[in-house]
Amino acid sequence: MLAGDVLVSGCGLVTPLGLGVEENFLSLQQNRSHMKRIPEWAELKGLEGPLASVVENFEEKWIPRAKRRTMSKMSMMAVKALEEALSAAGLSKEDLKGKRTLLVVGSTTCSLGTFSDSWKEVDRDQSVEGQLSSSMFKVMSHSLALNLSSYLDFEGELLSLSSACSTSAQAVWVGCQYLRAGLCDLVIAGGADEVHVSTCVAFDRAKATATNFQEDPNSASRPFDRERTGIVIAEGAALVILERAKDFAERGGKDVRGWIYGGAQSAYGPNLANSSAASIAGTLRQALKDSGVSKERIDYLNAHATGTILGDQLEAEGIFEVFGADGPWISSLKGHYGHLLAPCGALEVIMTLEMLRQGNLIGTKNLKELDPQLPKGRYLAENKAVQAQLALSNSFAMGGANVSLVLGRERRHG
Amino acid sequence: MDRGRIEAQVKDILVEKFEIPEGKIKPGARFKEDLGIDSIDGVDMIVYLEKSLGKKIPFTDLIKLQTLNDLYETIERALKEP
Repeated sequence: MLAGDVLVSGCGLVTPLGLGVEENFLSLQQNRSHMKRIPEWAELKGLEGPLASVVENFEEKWIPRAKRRTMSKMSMMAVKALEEALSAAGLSKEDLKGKRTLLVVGSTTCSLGTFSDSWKEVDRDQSVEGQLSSSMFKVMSHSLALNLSSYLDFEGELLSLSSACSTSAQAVWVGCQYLRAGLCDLVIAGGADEVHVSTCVAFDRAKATATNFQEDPNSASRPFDRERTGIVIAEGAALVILERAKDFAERGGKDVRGWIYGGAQSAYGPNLANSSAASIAGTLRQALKDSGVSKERIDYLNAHATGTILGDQLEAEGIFEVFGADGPWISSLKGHYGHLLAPCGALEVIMTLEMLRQGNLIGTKNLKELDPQLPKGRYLAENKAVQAQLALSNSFAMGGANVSLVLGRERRHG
Repeated sequence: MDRGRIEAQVKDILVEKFEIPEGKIKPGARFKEDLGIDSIDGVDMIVYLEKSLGKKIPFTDLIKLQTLNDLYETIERALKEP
């Protein structure tokens, strides 16, 4: 079966830049960001980059209480994204029951807020009395998967992945592989994460948070820029519905959001913290090979580029190794969003497909002066009208959990 | 604590913590069928009740209950015990 037979029939998003795909793309076109300095975090001694981009005023009461009681914010945001994705795909919860469906989602961690609040009380009082049983469902590693499953009354195949920043890219890729292999007929794939101070602390101690522009947080996340210093953490949920073209046509599906031609995934064991340029280049080459697409046909590359000094450098070198200086347009969305962690791969697949659909490539926000140490490439700092057909989307995580996906606007010919 | 206060405290918990509409809170209301309270809610409800009443309620007593009236009686008994 051709890899190009996997299509995206529905997408759903909840991010700090809006509810839904449409609102998010509009935010990108208008160059919006929503980053803030968090005063309580700033009081922690030694924390250098107390910034975050948070989903504010999220309304969750519409989720039935019996489903909501075990959900932390990440699951509630994911349920909202799920509703949007299903609706866009023209599917109801009931439609899933008659299909061999794979639900493959994940988060970086469990709900750290729930865990730490609960443990603080236990430790302070030296008592477990007062602790709720339902909290357990928020602090399991597969909390997101089990809560989406519960919300759907799901009885299909459930997989919970967790590879931090490449979690949802892995989920999308695993979903494609299941469909290719004929192991299921429909896939719901994606991820979600919620902001907690301990995530910021973890990146900060690794010298990977954005420490410049503290008085102007919306300028702090600067992928590929000379003045970049690191990540601004963010939160949200991103989900896609994947199907084979034949199944989609048979059920009368209409609006295709885009196509996944292929992809690749590889580890880089030699270094826990960073991938290597060669490993990234290898993943890109493998993704191109898998999709049967020559590198010359790639119009746009959506980089993982989180704004860290080393990570952006290695990715730029990897891209250069494959494409040279005259390859595809390159940009990262982390300047707008910050880093959503687990959902960022699916988010970027969704937004890249939207760029292809709308013929408008989104440039890297805050890329004012390209870091002269980066190899040459066609870095895009401003939005640009381009009728792009094919794109690559990169997601990387610690331990070199590299994922590259080849995305297409139209179905492959031939 | 008299029966009226017990009922008032249970009602507060059901409304505030379990989002049960006040109109549904009647002595004959069945936990699962009428109030949508299942075993996950049941164990959380014990936590709230114990906090509110300042008294331990044996889980083995509660798990057998069918209606709110059963709960009021169980609480009354528990409060009478030393």
